[in-house]
Amino acid sequence: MTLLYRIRALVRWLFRRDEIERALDTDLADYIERSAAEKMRAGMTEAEARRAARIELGGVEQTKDSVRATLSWPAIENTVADLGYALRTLSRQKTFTTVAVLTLAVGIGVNVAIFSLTEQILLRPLPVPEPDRLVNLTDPETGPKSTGRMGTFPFPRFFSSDSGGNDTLFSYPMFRDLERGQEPFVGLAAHVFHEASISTGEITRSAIVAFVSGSYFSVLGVQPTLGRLLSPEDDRVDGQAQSVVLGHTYWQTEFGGDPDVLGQTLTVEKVPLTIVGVAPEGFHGTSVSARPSVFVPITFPSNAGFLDIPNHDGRDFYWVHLFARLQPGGSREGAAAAMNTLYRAILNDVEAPLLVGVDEQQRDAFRLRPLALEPGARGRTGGRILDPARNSLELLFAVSAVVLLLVCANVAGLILLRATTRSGEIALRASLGATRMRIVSLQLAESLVLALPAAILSLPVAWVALRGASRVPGIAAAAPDVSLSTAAALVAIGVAVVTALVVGLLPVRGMLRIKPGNALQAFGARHTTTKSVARFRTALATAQVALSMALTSIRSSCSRPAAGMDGPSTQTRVSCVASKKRSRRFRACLPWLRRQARCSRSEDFSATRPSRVCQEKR
Amino acid sequence: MARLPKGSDDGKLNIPQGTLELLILTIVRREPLHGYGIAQRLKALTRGTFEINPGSLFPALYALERDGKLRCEERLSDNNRQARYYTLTSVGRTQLEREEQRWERVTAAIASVLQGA
Repeated sequence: MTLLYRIRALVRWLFRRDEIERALDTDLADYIERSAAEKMRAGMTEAEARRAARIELGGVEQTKDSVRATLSWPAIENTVADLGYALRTLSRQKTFTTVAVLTLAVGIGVNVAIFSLTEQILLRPLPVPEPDRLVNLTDPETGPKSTGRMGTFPFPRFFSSDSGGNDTLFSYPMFRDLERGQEPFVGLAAHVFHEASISTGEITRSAIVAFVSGSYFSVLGVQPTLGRLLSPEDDRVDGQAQSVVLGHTYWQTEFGGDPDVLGQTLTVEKVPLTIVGVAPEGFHGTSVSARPSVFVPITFPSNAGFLDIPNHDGRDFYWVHLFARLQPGGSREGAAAAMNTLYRAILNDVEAPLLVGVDEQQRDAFRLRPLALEPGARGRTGGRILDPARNSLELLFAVSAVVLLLVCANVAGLILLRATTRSGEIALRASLGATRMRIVSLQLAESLVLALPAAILSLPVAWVALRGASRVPGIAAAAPDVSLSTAAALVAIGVAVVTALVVGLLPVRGMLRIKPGNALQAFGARHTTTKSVARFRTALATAQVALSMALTSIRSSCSRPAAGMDGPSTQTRVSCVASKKRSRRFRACLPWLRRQARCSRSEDFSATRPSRVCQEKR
Repeated sequence: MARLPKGSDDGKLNIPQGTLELLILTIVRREPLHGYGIAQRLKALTRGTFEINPGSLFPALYALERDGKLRCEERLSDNNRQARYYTLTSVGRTQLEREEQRWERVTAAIASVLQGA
């Protein structure tokens, strides 16, 4: 209650001060009048009475001052005063201000760009209604780890390399079995993306095709731009496919957004399909890093030209990703329990008897494999599919963090340099009674004044950086059309404030060491650098050189493979560079690096032709 | 808060710490009053024992107004000048009642110590 009054009073004090001043004038004038009138009644002359009244008041200005002191909030007043002072001094030192603001803008801008990318690639949910109700089905036991452990285990065979997590693959018969008992879900959908040749008649080109179950679009809850989307009617018979839905971007680029496209024939790997509809704008499928051009039924003929998929019979061939939509109000845990019962029953009754060449222990382990449900609001984000983007993002994150550190060190160095020339002023302040807190807050106000315009300037910098970053392999595939968001702007301000604090606080220690007496004596002699300040400055310069070196090495390691994406992933190479110094550790991870280097050929999605799937992971 | 007036030799006393608020609120409870009026009423009620100077009175009044315990209205006074009259608010009334009770307990406690000694 009182706090509320206090805040209201503070707002009034800050913004309607003249009102308070007027009230004070009225009060004091009235007091003097009444006091004088009283004294005149007691026999004084008017002049005497007024004089006596004023004396009684004890000084109009003093009284006003003590009222002001009661009403003001010194911390805020001081901050406002500090900001004003910082603004005035900085606007006088144009070169310093310009350099510092621009340097900060670069550092902040790069970070905002990277944040935008991350937000859009890794954090943004699918553009579908209630994405929070989507779950990815995963089996933590499948994946390369388990195949390694199970040694002679005859299956699973994987369609491609897989690093587990929510990227788990299932077999097509398993999908159909699960689909039949999917009570906890509104619907269960299967999908897998693959490169294929698409022909519109005259032109044949390679594009990413999404093989999706008939339930795919209804589980997602998206509406077509044109015509209809695929429905359970389209995936009735395994090995047959008649319809195709175009992605919105593909429809725009290949057909110029022609509404007469419905009913035309599109040939996918020599299978003629009828275009029945166009997916909604902004919907790019359910995988973060691959954007399908067209959606075809998962019952697509298996002998159409792909090596392995679609495979509609093999229980030992894992190639589809599964996701589902929970019933309204249903919990992930409850659904997982129900689905596990079903999953175990299928494993026990149908699949376990098919196992050959395994011992009892392995068979028991197989029967007990759990099914897990992971949040699927962002579609498929885990495992191999996102790795190219994630690797690049991690690298970019590292780079941007280094850039920001470099910028902090740079600007802190500048401020420190300025601080040494200002030691006289600081000493004077200290000797006049400025507390340490006041000196620190003045310094912080100054860096805040530097950081805020830098935050604004950082947005164009971020835009440019984003253009650059979207050319990085992996990211280009994941998000070819990233843009700056409101969130990015907010982050810019947040980063700016944090940077300001860091930059402002770095030189403070040295400043507080200034001894007023010594500094004042040497006021005329300029540059009174104390030893510790000098040492700190040297440290800053060293850090700067070191960080620049790190940045250069990252850059050079990036630019080499930029020509071709087929080489080892960029991250691998960076970890090489980073650990070269520690040669022992480097040697220890060499086999791993080699393995990575060999496998990463197939890790890039667009390069994944089944024939080149990494043998090791089969 | 406000500085307390210095005591002098002519029978005046310092206003005990923390009681100025209680005194002001009590005085304006009866009727809305201007600053000078409050000072005079205090002097009259204590027969000159407590005298408050404007340098302490006004900061206290403005603090009470800030905290919502007093409200101010501007009126034209008898000789056609603007004057600000301070009135008790409901928040102020609650505060006053609490302070009164507290004060009664304090004085009773002190009295019992003095009598028992």
